[in-house]
Amino acid sequence: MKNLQMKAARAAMDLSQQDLAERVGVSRQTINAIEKGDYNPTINLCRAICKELGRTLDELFWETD
Amino acid sequence: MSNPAQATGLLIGVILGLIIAAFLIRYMNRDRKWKTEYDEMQQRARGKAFCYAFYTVMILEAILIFVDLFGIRLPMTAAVTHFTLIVIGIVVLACYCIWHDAYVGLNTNMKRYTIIVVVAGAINLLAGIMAIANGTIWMNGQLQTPFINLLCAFMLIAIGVVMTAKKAADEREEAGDDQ
Repeated sequence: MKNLQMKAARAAMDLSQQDLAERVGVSRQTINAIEKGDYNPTINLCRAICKELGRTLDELFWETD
Repeated sequence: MSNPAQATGLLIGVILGLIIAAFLIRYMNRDRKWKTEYDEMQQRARGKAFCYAFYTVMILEAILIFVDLFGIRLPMTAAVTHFTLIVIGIVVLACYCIWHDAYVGLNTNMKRYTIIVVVAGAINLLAGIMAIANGTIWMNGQLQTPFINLLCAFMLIAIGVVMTAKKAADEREEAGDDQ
């Protein structure tokens, strides 16, 4: 399932996938895979992404119907 | 390989090659570290890649045992045969990593990496072609040690082809996402 919340939060901060990737210390492809729902990140990476995007874990990684 | 001098030469060559490879990795990395770094997704993919490469080499080695037991004589020396299996394992590892975005490390300088691969590929290809021209690649009905240069060139070319194909596939996918 695509992570549209994360994509929207990133876009709201005017960050590219590459920008976010560099800030959290992963590759651009990893950010792309998370947004596409192809990869489930570890809790450490989730927390790092949340910190950079100024959102909570629930806001970015909790599935909503 | 029954010639001790030739075997010693090859051994020294391999050790020197490993030392040079370590320095090239350091040169290739942006932060000049000896080790290439990968993120968590890449490490997971690389774990699977190592697994597939390991089983590939295991299966091929098992086949070789039966080839030997049945008394089938391969048209290559034992050194070339085992090196071929290693190269096949490396190709499996590299191709899986490339296709799962786990080949290029976080600290890899792609420009330097490309230069190293192209130069290494050209050197090996040239050495292989020279061996063909000299007639040292094929003797006594068997492929000889210089064939290893051609194998290395093939490996680097295969990696380059898969990287190009992956890049094209990614661009196609991104173009599809934009629409």
